[in-house]
Amino acid sequence: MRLAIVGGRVFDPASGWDGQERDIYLADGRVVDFLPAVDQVINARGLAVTPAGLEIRSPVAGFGQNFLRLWGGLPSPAELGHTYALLGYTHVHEPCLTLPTANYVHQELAALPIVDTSASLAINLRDVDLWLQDPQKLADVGEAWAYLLESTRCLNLRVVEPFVKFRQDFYRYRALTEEVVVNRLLTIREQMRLPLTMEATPALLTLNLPVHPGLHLSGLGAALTDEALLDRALHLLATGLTADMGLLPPAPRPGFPSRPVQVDLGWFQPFDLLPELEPQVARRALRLAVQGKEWRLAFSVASLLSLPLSSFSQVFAWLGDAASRRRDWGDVQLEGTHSFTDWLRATRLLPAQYLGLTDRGHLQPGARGDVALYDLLGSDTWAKNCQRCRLLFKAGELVVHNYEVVQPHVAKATYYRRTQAVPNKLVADLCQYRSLRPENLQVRVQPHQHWQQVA
Amino acid sequence: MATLAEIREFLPNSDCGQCGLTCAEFAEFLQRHELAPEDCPVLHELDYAGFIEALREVLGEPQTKPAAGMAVDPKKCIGCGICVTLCEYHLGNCADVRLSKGPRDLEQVIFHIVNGLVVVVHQEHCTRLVQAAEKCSKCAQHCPTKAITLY
Amino acid sequence: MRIPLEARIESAVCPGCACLCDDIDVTVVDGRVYQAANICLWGASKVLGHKRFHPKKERRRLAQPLIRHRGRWQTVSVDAAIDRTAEILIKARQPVVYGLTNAGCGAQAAALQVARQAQARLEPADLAWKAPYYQSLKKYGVFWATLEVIRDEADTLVFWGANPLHSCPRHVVRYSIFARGRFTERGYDERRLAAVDIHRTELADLVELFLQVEPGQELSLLQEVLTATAAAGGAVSKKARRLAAMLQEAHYGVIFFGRGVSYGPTPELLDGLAGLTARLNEHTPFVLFPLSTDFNAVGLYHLLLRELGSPLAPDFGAGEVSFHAEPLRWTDVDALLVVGADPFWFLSAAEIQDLHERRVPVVALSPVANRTTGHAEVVLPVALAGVETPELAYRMDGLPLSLPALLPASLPSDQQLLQQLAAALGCSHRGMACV
Repeated sequence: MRLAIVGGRVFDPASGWDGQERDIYLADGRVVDFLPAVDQVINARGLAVTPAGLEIRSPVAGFGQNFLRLWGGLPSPAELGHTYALLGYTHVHEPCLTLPTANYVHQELAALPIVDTSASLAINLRDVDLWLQDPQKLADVGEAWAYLLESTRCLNLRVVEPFVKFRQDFYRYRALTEEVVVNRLLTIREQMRLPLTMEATPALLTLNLPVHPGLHLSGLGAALTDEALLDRALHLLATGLTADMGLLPPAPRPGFPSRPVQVDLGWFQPFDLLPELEPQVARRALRLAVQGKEWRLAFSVASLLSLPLSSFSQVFAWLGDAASRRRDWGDVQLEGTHSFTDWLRATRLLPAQYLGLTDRGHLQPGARGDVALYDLLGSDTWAKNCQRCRLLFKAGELVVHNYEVVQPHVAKATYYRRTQAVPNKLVADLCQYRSLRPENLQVRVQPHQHWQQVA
Repeated sequence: MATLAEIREFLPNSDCGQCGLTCAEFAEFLQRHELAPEDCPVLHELDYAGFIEALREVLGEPQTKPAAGMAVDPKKCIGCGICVTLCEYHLGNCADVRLSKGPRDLEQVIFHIVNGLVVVVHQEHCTRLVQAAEKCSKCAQHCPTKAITLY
Repeated sequence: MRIPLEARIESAVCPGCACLCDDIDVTVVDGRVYQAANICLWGASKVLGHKRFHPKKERRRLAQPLIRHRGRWQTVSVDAAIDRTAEILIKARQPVVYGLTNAGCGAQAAALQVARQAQARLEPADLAWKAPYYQSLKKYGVFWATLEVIRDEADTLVFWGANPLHSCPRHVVRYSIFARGRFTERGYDERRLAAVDIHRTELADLVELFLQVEPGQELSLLQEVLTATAAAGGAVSKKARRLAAMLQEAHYGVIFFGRGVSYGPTPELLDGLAGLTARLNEHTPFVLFPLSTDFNAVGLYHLLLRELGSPLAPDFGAGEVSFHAEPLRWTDVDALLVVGADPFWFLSAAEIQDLHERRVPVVALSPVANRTTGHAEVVLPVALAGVETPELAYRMDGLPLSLPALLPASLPSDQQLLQQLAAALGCSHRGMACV
């Protein structure tokens, strides 16, 4: 299938195109330089042509998220997939998959239609504390994580608790501080070249984090518990650290009760799926997002509960439109707004780089034909245009046409990293303490699931 | 039952190790009828002619039922595996059981659950039988249906 | 004689109960399970095809679809039986799809589709005590842990109206009373245990505190425990005080509750238990955990929550879907499709009489002959899910496990038949001829 999208104004931060009128050609699902003859011509006159979006923090499939549906906190998978497509997204990344819940998360991801999926393997440092204490054993830890990354079919590693503490005082001698942990993790990352994400915490921000390719700080917003941390976060961003925003709403979601929803997966403390909102933290998160647009700060929201997908257009408007910011946040003192290109960079280019999907997030020849077309009302009110996309192509196939999903059964895949690591003694050790036999911890490939390796 | 001293009278007592054991250990296996006199390679030498026959006489016929042991009532057992997990021998010798999982087939275990019922596989490892002083009786004590009898 | 090994499946998953033990090593000879290691008696009866409470007594398998015609059974083709079922469901005003707790995820999803197409109510078999549980979560919040974490951390366990030795025998060994985990290395010796039941159960000999209560007295006991934990004044009996003290001294506790709560005033009991859990959580991690019995009961509630956003019984009758927390009133039903359950086993004689008198047609999908198939108008035999067909099921803590097929199937799976039925219903609604 050869396709030409003609007459549109192309916005692609990776290529430096900022609204120039260009034609985009797609052949066999990929962007190509030029085609002398095409099967179909899409008239994009008056439309903004952009790469499709990638969501790097979408906790929709994690273990326990289903409980939130008790309060109507999360739409059904079908609804989620459709909403993402209508927003112009083609990829969704689940931040929390653990070794015992790998099968669960992949089941849930498979239930999301239209969008491609991937997940981060959240590693519990408590399981490997003795190995982390011994600098000689760090290579083994890296090898084991590399193996688990592939066997649980994940894209990258994520550290949620960058420390080792135990609830029982008896094990106090085994505790590790943030500083030691970060040090060890960076050594492992250096040796194994594994992409590593760390969930931002206040303690982590105060550390002297080195700028490290492949180290990503996730969900910055919720960690900004005081003003000094906001400055610190901006400073870290200025040194070149990659991170994502973790935006929070100005006020708790109306009609959503504040009940504890805690799921204990054997971490230092149970995961709190409905944390209480602190308005000051939320304001700092917004300030960080707006002021950090120059740096490598990707778009993300802290949780899809406080900021549901249906409110994303509003969230985009906070970044791009001072008036709507004033309307929703009141007297927030903030200079500057995201331009359309800034927003595209934060929702396309940086997420694709973070996920390691080199053919995504831009429109240069060779990129996959994931193209989102929006109405173009005016460049100053771009946020209004992005409420819904007019047309969406996924790998060259038309998914959304005139604001409606026309191809809900488009091919989708789950992306995971191929590491080719072999299991070592630590893997056996980790599996031994699980309640399932190792062979049942492996992700079972269901016939309806499609997988895509990333080298 | 023959005493160990009686048995050792008819063994080479050279601890040559050809059978993989010392003569004292070999004698214990003979006593329990787990090895036969023929299993000693040295006794087949001409110098020891007649020793094998003599040992057979000393050892006598193996008893169909050992003097001490355990019996499982299949009518009562529900295969819950409490005995498997509590067994002192398993605790030290089978990592899977120690971590509350079922043992693999080839593991040396005292109890194995097969088709929903406990089967005594290697009674000889039982702590109660090997070290009489310990008097471990956890399996019978905690059996919820009282299916295990120790004697 | 050496028996030729035909197939050996290691680490198979047992569809006996919601424990879904994954360490079952199975040897199959000549298309029959010859030996299954590490399986409890309940699981063995399912895998070997025995009666659950009578091991070694074979259960009668159904072989061919049957339709009752003028009071007599007639053997028919699968297609004919499906058509007749579709006809029954379409004619009915208040059809009910019942059961599903003993069916794999595939079958449950297909049954949901059938309920949608037939504008029927879908009734989980254990709704009577699960609906109040989910409602209590809504009120007090969720405190949840996987069984692995419970094994590793919990030092205080309470069984309220639950006897795991009857409903899921290996639970006590793998995850609760006797299990040894990371911070509970001494297992049984370092756990504090209590049980509340109206009968003296096997647990009585295993736990430190066994509270036998008169039927109907559970709620007052629970209220006394609540009073005792609140440290406010109020008359508290000695046993409630002991239980409250045990709960308050815990470092990590779990309250397992079972089907027993469905005899009392269930909503109040669960409200009390959830309130107690929430209160204890102010100081110590505590988990309220339903001890599901049927092997994929949890999968069904996951499916309902995920797809419909509510764990209650959905009713597609009025076009818009409505949800019911109250269990079904059998007098309202005018057609019944039973999958993965045997309701006639526990229905009262009067209720059965009523169903007969109103000539409520019953369709039963079942691998074996049971009381429901005996009362059915259409019987559709299916393969044993998780034994003859591969399935997916959720363990009682909500982790999905793949159940491999151990034996070849000679019958279609319940999932296939339900999908076919959904298609047949879809066609007739649109007034098209089915192809």
